[in-house]
Amino acid sequence: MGGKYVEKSVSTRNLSLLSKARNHLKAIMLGAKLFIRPIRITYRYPIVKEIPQEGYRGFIVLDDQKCIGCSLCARICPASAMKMFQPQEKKLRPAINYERCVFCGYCVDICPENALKHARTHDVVFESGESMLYIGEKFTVDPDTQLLTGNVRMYRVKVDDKRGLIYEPIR
Amino acid sequence: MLEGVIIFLKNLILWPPIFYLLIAPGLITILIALIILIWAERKIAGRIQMRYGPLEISPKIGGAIQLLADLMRYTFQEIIIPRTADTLPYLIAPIAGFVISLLPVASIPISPIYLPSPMNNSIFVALAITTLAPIFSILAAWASNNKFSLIGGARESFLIAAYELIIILSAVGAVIIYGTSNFIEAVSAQQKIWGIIINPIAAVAFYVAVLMATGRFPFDIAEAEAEIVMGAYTEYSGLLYGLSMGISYTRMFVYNLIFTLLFLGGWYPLIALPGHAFISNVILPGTIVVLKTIVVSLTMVFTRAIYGRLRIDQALGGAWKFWFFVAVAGLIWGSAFVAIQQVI
Ligand code: SF4
Ligand code: SF4
Repeated sequence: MGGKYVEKSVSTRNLSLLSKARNHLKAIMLGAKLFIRPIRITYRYPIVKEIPQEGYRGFIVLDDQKCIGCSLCARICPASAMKMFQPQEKKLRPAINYERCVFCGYCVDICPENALKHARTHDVVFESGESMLYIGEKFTVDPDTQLLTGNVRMYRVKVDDKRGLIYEPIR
Repeated sequence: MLEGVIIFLKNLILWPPIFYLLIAPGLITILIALIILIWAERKIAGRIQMRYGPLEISPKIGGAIQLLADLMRYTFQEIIIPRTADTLPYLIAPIAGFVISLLPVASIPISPIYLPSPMNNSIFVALAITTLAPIFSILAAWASNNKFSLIGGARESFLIAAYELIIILSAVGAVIIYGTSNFIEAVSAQQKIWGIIINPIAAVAFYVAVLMATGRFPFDIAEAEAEIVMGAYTEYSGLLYGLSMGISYTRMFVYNLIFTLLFLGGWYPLIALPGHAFISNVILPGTIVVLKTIVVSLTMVFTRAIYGRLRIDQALGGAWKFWFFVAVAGLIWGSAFVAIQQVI
């Protein structure tokens, strides 16, 4: 009856007094070690910022020169976030509503002209619903240009063999 | 006229009972210690659990005044009294609990000369008064008429039965060695060698029983947040909640005062500065005692970061089947020590 884990949890109840004391001591030593040399896996978000890796699926940027107005991106979009608009005297161009976008990346994949690409920015604060609609000129601005400005410390996540996730300062 | 008033006020404040209960080690010192301890508890737990702990409110000093902000919030929050609660005991319980958990200070001296009240049995009086406060947490549990509170109260009553005997037995283990039940004489007996070295068994039993008595980890069974919200104080809000949260820390501080005087040599090493008598007789020894107490309390809040919570049966089993016998062993060791000394 029971499996490996049941046996393990039962067997820990029959520890001898000595091994109990040793386990308590181990816990205290580990606590003391971490107290003296802390390893933090959280960071102070607005002051310290994490820079995502290349290929991160953040905001979407349109290259107006490449786009041929084929509407494929608007048709594939599962969240109906991408819609086609026609500025005066011009061809059809997509516009995106970040109120709906789920950052699935289908539009980037399907674009035959590679006119869409992901930026690495993913945390932007909007003050109103209208400002979440990126249309025309606004859609072609790469938000990553603002990613590395401002008075913040930048960190990048790295996987460390011993400590798990660590944050490595890059600037 | 004005001078007379100032002298009167000065004499009133320096009158030992008032000084002890209001300033040190009473209300003001305990409030400061509370602020330090709760902040340190959250900060230590944060460090060890790989986070930051409180920081946002004053990043320069590591969020040290977080508790002031919390206290402010508690003070101005609305106090909600449930319709089904028994109003009078509901209101009285946390207030009386807080005051009475502070009361043992009335017989705990922090200096060899300046006493709160001269008495020969001060150790036993202090221990007797420390046993009163849990009754009010059971009263609070009963008066709030809530399932979680009742379970918390029941757990608390089980725990009282378990730890109280251990505390008293291990204190007796120290009292036997010093041959006195007076704090002053007990501390002067430790001038050369501290009680914790003479009778470490009783000291360890006392320490663990204090962990159990004040709901520190791994014994925070009566207030287990994950299981029964806040135990006996589930229904409380606002200032009453702030008070009830302070009770366990106040009790820890007071127990640690007793621990310091019984096992850690009290105000020794006594430093006497030439000059004003009040400074070398009250302020210096008082500072030494309070500092030792805070250090011991810091080791107690440290346990929050490394222990889980025991089940009630595990805690009671451990208390009755193991720590009780450790306390008795401490008692026997104390008696044996005295007997050996007499033979030699
Ligand atoms: S990322 Fe997905 S949801 Fe967002 S616009 Fe493109 S297809 Fe639509
Ligand atoms: S799929 Fe590409 S080319 Fe076609 S409309 Fe969208 S962005 Fe323009």
